[in-house]
Amino acid sequence: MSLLEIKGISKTYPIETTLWGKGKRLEAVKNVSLTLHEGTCLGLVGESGSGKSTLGKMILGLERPDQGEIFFQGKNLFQLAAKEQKELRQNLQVVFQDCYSSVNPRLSIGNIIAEPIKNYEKLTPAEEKKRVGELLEKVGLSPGNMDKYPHQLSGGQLQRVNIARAIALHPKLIVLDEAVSSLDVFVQAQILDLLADLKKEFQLAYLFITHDLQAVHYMADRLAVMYKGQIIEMLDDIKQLNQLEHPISRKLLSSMLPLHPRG
Amino acid sequence: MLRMLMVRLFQKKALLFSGAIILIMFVLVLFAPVLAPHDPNIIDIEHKLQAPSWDFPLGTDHLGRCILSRLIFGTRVSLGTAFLVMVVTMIISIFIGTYAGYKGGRIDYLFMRICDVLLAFPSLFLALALIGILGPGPLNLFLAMVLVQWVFYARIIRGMVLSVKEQNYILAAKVSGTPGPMIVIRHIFPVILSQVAVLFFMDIGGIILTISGLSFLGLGIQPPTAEWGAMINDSKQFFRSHPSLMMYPGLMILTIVMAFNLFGDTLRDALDVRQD
Repeated sequence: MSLLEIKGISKTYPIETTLWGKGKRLEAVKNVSLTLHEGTCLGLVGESGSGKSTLGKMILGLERPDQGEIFFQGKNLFQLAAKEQKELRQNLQVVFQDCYSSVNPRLSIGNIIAEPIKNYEKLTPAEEKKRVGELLEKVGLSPGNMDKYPHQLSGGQLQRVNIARAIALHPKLIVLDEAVSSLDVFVQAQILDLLADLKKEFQLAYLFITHDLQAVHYMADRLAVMYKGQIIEMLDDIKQLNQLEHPISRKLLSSMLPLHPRG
Repeated sequence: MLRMLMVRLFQKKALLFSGAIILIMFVLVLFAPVLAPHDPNIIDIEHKLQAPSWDFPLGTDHLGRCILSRLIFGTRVSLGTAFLVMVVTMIISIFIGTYAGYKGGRIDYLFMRICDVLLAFPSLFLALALIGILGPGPLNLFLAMVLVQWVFYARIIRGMVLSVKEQNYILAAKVSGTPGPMIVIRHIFPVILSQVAVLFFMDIGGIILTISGLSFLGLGIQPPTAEWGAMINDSKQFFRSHPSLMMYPGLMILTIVMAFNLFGDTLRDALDVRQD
């Protein structure tokens, strides 16, 4: 059974409002269908504005699709009672691109990571602290960072904190919305390695939203190319990246640096 | 972070100065019966319009009442009413502004149109009209002020909430299962409360002025209660012979309004993160 199944979802945003509320609308996502299997990574690439982040937000329940259905673990996400939905969404987490705005600057690292735990589990403060410490170690940070504040950490460290928060509830699927794009190349590689390790350890599935084909090539098992709200090409084996046919995919491909440069 | 803020606050001389004035005023509010040399409402026509003496440090008014005592008791009325108006207004505005801003949609639309209508009138005239309907008196003054004021703050607070609401950490909190009210308490209130505190102190001076203004017109606090605006009104017929009668309450209003404005301004500067 597939973990996530998206059936023909669409989303439009009003770009012009008139008195009667029938202005022009922007079609952010048009009739998109996708499936994602447990423990695999689906790369979703496309230019900025192609609707890939909107798709991610709909999967996370931050936006409601106008049409279509999303099935997660076989259940329709938008037709569940609030309580059931909360249970289900525990398995669905996110890491955003901008690591700085993803954490509340007024909360300590420990409190940031503990937020999902507080929402789903009743732990004593001591147990909670232990869990947070373990999570910090999992993402390669020392538990001593617990009492620090976001402004005392670097971008790479903060993104590790965001990842720790995302894995705190042992989810099945993490949406990585450009999760490494704002970091420098060296840190990017470290974070990608960390994500790959976590994927293996927890049997995680990723929806890896990015415009960086090189990162996709490293992380993903399958690939979908989005353009103007639609999926224009699917690739079931990432190793056959050169078989992309659509002109837009070719264009994205040509922007990628060669893995083995000659001379 | 809090300690940094405290250090920065104490570095501001203007803040200390204005804070000291406000503190003195509050001491006057709390200990008025102890500090005032006389009962502010005792009428003694034989000693009317006296010059300052040991017994009456600022002299007496046209009914022989001790001016200093009336000024001190007036602090209670002016500051007390202004604080009450501001606190109640802020609570209403925070509630409505946050709800409208966070929920959005129809409720937001409805509240904002109500604000549009109320904001289209000059607030003082609206307050005058309301008191005209309700009749003069302290309670109606309070009601009129709150009804007129809440729209400003509800709008501002809604704007603050809107700007915070789309931050990634709010989205991340939603994804990690934090319920709406908890998001507001944990992530939104801490951001807006410091700005609301600044607004509170910057505008309370204006409220004191409006209350005094309305009392001067005989629409607010009623005689014989000692209130600065009403005192100015009482003394206007003696303006030529005894200008000091008008000057003392005027100076009190000036001092307290200036102190609050200065306090609010410096507080805003101190809380401005961009200074780092």
